[in-house]
Amino acid sequence: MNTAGERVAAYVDGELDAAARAAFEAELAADAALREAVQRERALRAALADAYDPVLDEPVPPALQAALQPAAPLVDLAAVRAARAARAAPRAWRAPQWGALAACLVLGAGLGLWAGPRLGLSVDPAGWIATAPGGALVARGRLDRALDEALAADAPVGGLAVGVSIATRDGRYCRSFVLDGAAPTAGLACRRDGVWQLQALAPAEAAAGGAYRPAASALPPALLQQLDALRDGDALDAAGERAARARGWRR
Amino acid sequence: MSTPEPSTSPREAIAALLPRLRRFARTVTRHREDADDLVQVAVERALRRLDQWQAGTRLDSWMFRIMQNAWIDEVRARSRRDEVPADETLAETIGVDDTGRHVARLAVQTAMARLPEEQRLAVGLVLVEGLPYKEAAEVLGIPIGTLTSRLARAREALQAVLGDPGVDR
Repeated sequence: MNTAGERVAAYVDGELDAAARAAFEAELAADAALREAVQRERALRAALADAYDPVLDEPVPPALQAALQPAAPLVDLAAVRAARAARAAPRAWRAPQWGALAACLVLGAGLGLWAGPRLGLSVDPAGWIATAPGGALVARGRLDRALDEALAADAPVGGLAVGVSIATRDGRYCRSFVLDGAAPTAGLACRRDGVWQLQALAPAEAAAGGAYRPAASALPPALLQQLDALRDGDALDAAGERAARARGWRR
Repeated sequence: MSTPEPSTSPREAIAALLPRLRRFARTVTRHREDADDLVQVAVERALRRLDQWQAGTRLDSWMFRIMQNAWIDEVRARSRRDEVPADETLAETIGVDDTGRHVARLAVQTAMARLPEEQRLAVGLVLVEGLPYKEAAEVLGIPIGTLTSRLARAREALQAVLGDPGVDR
């Protein structure tokens, strides 16, 4: 830091220690040319910020976000159901122990340990998932009501939002949902025999900056693929959604 | 901003850094496509060697170092060859804007694109990303004195295109 220019730069860059800064500021007070040099450096920093900071507000391209997605976070509930059915006789309706269920989901999909806490939903799930005879997992309570009543355009209630609704090739309706919270979770449920059966659950991306995003865009890619594989035609629009709801989600 | 929360995984912390990584990439490359290409390559490299990142050190500096290396030994070779960015590329970068600011941004980005690469990297790290000299010198693998002299030359060149802001104030 020998030249005047480098001292000015170091001052503007915040690289002077307290003593050097105080000495420099004393000089500054007495030297108009030095003040102008500082002003020019500050203007340069401002111009650079003006030129490059807008990048910070651009949406990050999906390819970049995808590169940071954990691999294969999808929990395939069909496999879980098969495993349960194989080792348990049909039982009456009951709420499963969530710990056992979470462990089961993790084991069923062969996921790493990290998935356990991420699938530990932020609300007590015993109230909204139950095991049906035969081992199927079905929506109960709040989740059941939301899947029956909520439209994609509705604001989330208690962090629970319904996303995309589709008609399937085998004549059913399926709907995705996202539960926001400390461990955002996305799922896919299909209407069968008068109940919403859960097809898949997966950790969802946290909404950026705390702002809620449309549920479809928050769905993990693997879950979107499953939706895509099931659907017969386009996702329902708002009118289609209302019509299906009016029919009790029967086709 | 620079260090992840203790409860955040490195993967999540890198995701949170993406906007800054993209900004730094714009200062390094001359085209936005190259910039995102660079971030992509760097992120993939970082994920393959997450075990090499030392907790407690700055994740942003670590990522900038990976980006610098990725630029020099991979992305630069396949980058767009133009000496200076095309106007339409910049217009797209900047978006709809009032003319005065647009011209000012264009001037700054064009001046940056004309700087030698070693100076662009120094400006990107210190003047745009706000790294202390010591961190920036470590990212670039050079002594602090070399960093400050590169910065001094870059500042001189950039000031030349900015004119004299003192006149209006």
